Amino acid sequence: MTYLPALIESVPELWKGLLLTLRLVAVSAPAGLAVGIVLGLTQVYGNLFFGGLAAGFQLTVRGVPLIVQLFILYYGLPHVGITMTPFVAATLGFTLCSGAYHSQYIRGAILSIPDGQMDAGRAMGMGLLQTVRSIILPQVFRRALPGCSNEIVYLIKYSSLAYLVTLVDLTGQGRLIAYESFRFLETFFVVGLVYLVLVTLATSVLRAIERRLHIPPA
Amino acid sequence: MKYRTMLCLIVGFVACVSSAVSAENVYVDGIDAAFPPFSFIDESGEPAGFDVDVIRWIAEEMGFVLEIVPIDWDAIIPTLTSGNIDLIASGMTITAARSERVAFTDPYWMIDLAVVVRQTEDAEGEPDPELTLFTAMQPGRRIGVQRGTTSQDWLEENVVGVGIGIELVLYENFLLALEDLLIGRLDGAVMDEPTARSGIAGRPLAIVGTINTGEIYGYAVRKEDTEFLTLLNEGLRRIQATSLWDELVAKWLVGV
Amino acid sequence: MVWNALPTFFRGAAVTLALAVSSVAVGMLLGIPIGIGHVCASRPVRTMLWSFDRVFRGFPAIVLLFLAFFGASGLPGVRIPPFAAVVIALGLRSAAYQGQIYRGALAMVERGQVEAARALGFSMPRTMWHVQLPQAARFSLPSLSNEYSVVLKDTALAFTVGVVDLMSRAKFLAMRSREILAAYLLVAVFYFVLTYAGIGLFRLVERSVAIPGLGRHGTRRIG
Repeated sequence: MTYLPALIESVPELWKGLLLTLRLVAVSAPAGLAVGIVLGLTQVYGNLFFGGLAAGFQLTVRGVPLIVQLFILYYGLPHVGITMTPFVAATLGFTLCSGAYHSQYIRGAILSIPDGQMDAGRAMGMGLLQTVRSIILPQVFRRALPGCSNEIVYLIKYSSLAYLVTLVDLTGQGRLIAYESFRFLETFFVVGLVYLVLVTLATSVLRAIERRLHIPPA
Repeated sequence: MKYRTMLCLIVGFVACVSSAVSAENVYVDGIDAAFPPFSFIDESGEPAGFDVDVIRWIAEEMGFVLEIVPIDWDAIIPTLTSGNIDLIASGMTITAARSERVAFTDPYWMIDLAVVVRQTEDAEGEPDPELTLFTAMQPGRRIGVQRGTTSQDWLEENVVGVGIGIELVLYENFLLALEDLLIGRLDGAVMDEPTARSGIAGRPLAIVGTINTGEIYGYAVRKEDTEFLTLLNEGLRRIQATSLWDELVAKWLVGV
Repeated sequence: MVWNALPTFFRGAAVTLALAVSSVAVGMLLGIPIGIGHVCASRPVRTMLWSFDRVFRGFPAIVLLFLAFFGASGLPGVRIPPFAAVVIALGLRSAAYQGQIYRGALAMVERGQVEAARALGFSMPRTMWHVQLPQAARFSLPSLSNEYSVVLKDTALAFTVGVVDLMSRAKFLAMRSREILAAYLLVAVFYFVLTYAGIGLFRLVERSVAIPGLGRHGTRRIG
């Protein structure tokens, strides 16, 4: 196949793109999880105002496509004075979107913990924050992990939208290479395979973490 | 629940099939939706522009039905070669590389590339471009272009390719590059001159120089569509012989 | 100028809705057999299904779209219209996800019922049809509504292959009117409404097929 030499030539560019994708994910995944925890906690324990705000935020973010959010952040906000670099816009978009989904998993996990534990903690004189931190949260992590792992895998895949805000990530490089070589099918297949590898690696790591934290039934 | 599924399936299939079945003599023209004054989509969602007006006249004159569809520019040639569109009439420059993939009609217009920068006002309230053509092409400058265009090619070959370290930023279309130029995320933008003039109208931007590439525009069709190509060339000949041509040129291309 | 474009947004919304519904329908048509296959099929078939699952859940949606759309550019005479390309790409992807949904839903049906049916002489296919599927259908509804919302949002990528959907309309307006923020905020509202109206509809269906007293056994896939 005459494509092979062309493919090998484009490896440096693809590698550059891959590095950018990894950078995007490395920043957005933990940030998204953190946002998700905050939002989840706020929705469950917050007062009417903050809880409502968090709920409204997550509903909005989950109801609007990520592309629209990215466009608003990058091209729209400058019209009201907020300008950010492409990288910031992309990571902010990914973080918020990811966080909204994480918050739902966290919230579900919190709600699945019997109220008795919270009552017991409070009865023993611990404040709300302390009860949450020492009793509820550790269990929440374990229960929310499958859902949150799922969301992190999603993040790896939808980081492919970064090219829409001028970042040349793995997908962006793929497009450039395809445009120059006119080999659209082959290039995108290769790009897809790389994402598949990333996703598989991530899934294995996360599953290993799940197994480590797993408490076998009595 | 079953009926709903059936209904959805039927809707989906009908939609797919109806878009797949092409009526006799219908030719689909792919355009760049944000490339004024040659082709763009106006407020009411309709295609408009110089190339749109001309190709519509040619279609009527030469007797074929025309459908105009907006396509992402950097994928427009594969879209043509794969058969999803039959024609590209959208300010496309004839290049050697492109000619290997598609067939072009006779040239119908010539343009140069323009370099656009921000403009402020100096002490006397006179317009004052922030950069010159020279200072815009210095290492470290962020210059924006549309992906898949001759502007991208020219800068890659003649600036980046000879070692001048500008940062070439790629956008979906030139208008988005101009937006970023206004905001400050770019130092300059390079694009076809008529588009530059259209894009800077009414905004604090200025053309500080032109790159004399002398590019010529032609319509693109698939290589095997030789009859269609002859048809289009004849149509172009006819419209250029009428006064309508001069009217359209005056309307769209002169002093935007 | 933004308000004048409102009718075009409605046209775009119709296209987007058609894309989403078609894709979910294709996903359902293929996903049900796939889900059953995950549970019941022979080893080689299950391995094939596993590979299908890996590819279509591992590739980003936008890559699948490009592959479907340009996939035919190598083959002469084959032409895939943009709308069809999107439905194929998103539909197959949805089939992979729905396969997982139905597999999980089937697993939620109490083993006891399956055993009872077999004891009464029902064959495997009959058990599946009369006992497992109806209950699995009910369990799968919450996840299906989520799948709908995911597919709907993925259709926003269709403009990259030339489908004139809601997102395209927003871009045309943004470029023409230069009111970029207003255009995209407006389209965000449209997508919001389409998403939650759809989810609301699913919620109604859920309620209408729910059996009072029979809990959902934690079927609620969160989010």
